[in-house]
Amino acid sequence: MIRLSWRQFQAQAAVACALLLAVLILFATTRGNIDHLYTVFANANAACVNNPSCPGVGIELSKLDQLLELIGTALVVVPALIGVFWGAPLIAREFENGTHRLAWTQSVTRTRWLACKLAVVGLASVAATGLLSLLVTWWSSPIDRAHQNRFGSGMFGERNITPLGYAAFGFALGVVAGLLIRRTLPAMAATVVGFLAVRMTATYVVRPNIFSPRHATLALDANTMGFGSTNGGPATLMPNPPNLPNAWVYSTHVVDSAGHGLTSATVARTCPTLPFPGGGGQGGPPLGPGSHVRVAGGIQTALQDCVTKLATTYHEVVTYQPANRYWTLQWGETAVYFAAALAIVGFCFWWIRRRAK
Amino acid sequence: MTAVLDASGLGKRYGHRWALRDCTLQVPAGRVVGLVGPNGAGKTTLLHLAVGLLQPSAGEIGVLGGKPADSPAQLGRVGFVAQDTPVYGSLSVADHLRLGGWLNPRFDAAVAERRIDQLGLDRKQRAGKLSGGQRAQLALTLAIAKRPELLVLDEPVASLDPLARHEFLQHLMEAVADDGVSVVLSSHLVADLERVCDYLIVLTRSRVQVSGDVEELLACHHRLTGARKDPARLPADQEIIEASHTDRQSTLLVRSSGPILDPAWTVDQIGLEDLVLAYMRRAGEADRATRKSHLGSVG
Repeated sequence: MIRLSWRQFQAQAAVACALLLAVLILFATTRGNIDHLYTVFANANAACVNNPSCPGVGIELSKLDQLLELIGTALVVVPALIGVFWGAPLIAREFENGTHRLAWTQSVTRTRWLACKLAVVGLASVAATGLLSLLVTWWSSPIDRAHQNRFGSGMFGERNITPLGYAAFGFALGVVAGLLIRRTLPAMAATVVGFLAVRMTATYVVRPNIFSPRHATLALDANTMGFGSTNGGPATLMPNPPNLPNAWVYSTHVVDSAGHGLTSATVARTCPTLPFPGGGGQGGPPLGPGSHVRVAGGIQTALQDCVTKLATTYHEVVTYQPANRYWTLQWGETAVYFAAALAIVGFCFWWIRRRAK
Repeated sequence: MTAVLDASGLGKRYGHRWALRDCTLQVPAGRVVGLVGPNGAGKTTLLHLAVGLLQPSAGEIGVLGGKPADSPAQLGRVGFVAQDTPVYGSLSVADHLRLGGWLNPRFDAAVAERRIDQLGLDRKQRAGKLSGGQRAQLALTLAIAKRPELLVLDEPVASLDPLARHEFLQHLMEAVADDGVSVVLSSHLVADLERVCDYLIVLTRSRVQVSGDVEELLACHHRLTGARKDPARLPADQEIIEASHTDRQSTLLVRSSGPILDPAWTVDQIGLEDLVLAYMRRAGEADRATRKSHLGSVG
């Protein structure tokens, strides 16, 4: 039965291999350039440390490199595609064409039939995604090293081992959708919806709450302090996130010893020299949501004074996951997705033995 | 001798609707059994229960002395050609022969190859591109080369043109003659079955109406024609299957274990088709009568 499962999967496997090979060639030929570019960038940055007059160092990626960076994003899509194109039709297509009646009446129990199908295509799903993740992680390691933001939304789920968990889960979800719905197209649609719903919930609701974050208390620092408003709200002090390489910073707040946040009114009272919009002075440039701005030129002194005055009663609280929890979270998330995939597979076996038609 | 098919009180229900009900029958080995009934009568349900694609909701079914699809060995003893003869459209004819070998330990590759040669099928052709007749032949080849003790075919010729239909049945009969395999074959057309079957099961409205050896069935059913007579006054061993009356004449189709002795009747033999139709009509009338007395209780 393994041989039949493999024979049925051959064409899809060939497509996957061709795509992986294409990515491998593209990455192998461009990796040297990326590495060189970011080594220069890192050296320039290192020379700038403790030198306030240093001009900001930027890096400009070529169009090709930008395109290749997108392949990292593809790792978000690939597990969903696997669920849709490998998982959902695996059983649904057999039901649709009636070939399950051919397969289930050969000298092979349907439990074994399902086990072989799942083994061949499931392992291929995880292996293909693993290979792609390995390639992406390797190719983009100079970029990732420079950004120092391993928990970033476009990074955590697109590097190392988490994509394997997503692939296993996406595949299992596709299979069970096909088994229950018994028609390929609706099963594909259900897989996309289900997969996205689970991934979004897990990423934005579950992941931040698994490990309680750490809190760090810092004195107010005029050098990293910004001033502005969020979404047209009242202007206030806006601390820039502290330099915590590769940490996952949830939030940075200015609070007093009792834990009360710094209000715009307090800032206005304490620091009347700051240019409040509508309060005489000209407001800062229009700001995007959550963005921070360093106050430029003559207002710099005003801000400095303001921070010094406020620092007696206020301090900065940073809520974050430290960088050394990266692998704990990677393994944790991967394990959770694999466990969900296994649970779904278990349900499939139960269903096909007791309920299927 | 064990029955190839042994059902008692067998039933299959989908929700509130019974697709098959109170099915009790024994089919002896070594026969070619025709399962006939109109569309939706429960033929496919009965055959799917026999090959283990379905689980019964009531009663029991034994096949070749075992439980259907209970083990790989049991699965190997029964060959099945499903309705519309499904094959893997993207796989070639040669792939199908290979998969037959992969999935069946007793698969006889030589028999399969020989049949493919006889049929003149192109081994490289994808099964999805075969004609209906060729596809049916390919499915039959797989089922026969599996070397089953029982071959079950669900409406194998329903979608074939008359020529392909004839060829298919001929190949089936050749295989039966070679192997002595027992066959259960369903159709809604009596004409198909008449040529090949020596045992008949009439299934209508989810119930078995009559079953038995074709010759015995024909021998014990008679058409009686005579002056109009009250059917209730027939001898006790004569069961009326169908009766029609004009003012002066009665025509009865009766089942009788003994000969018809009453000289008032003109006795005629009947054909298989008439016999099947009579049972189907009777089931229809009984059903309508039940429906009148308790509305909606019969599905």
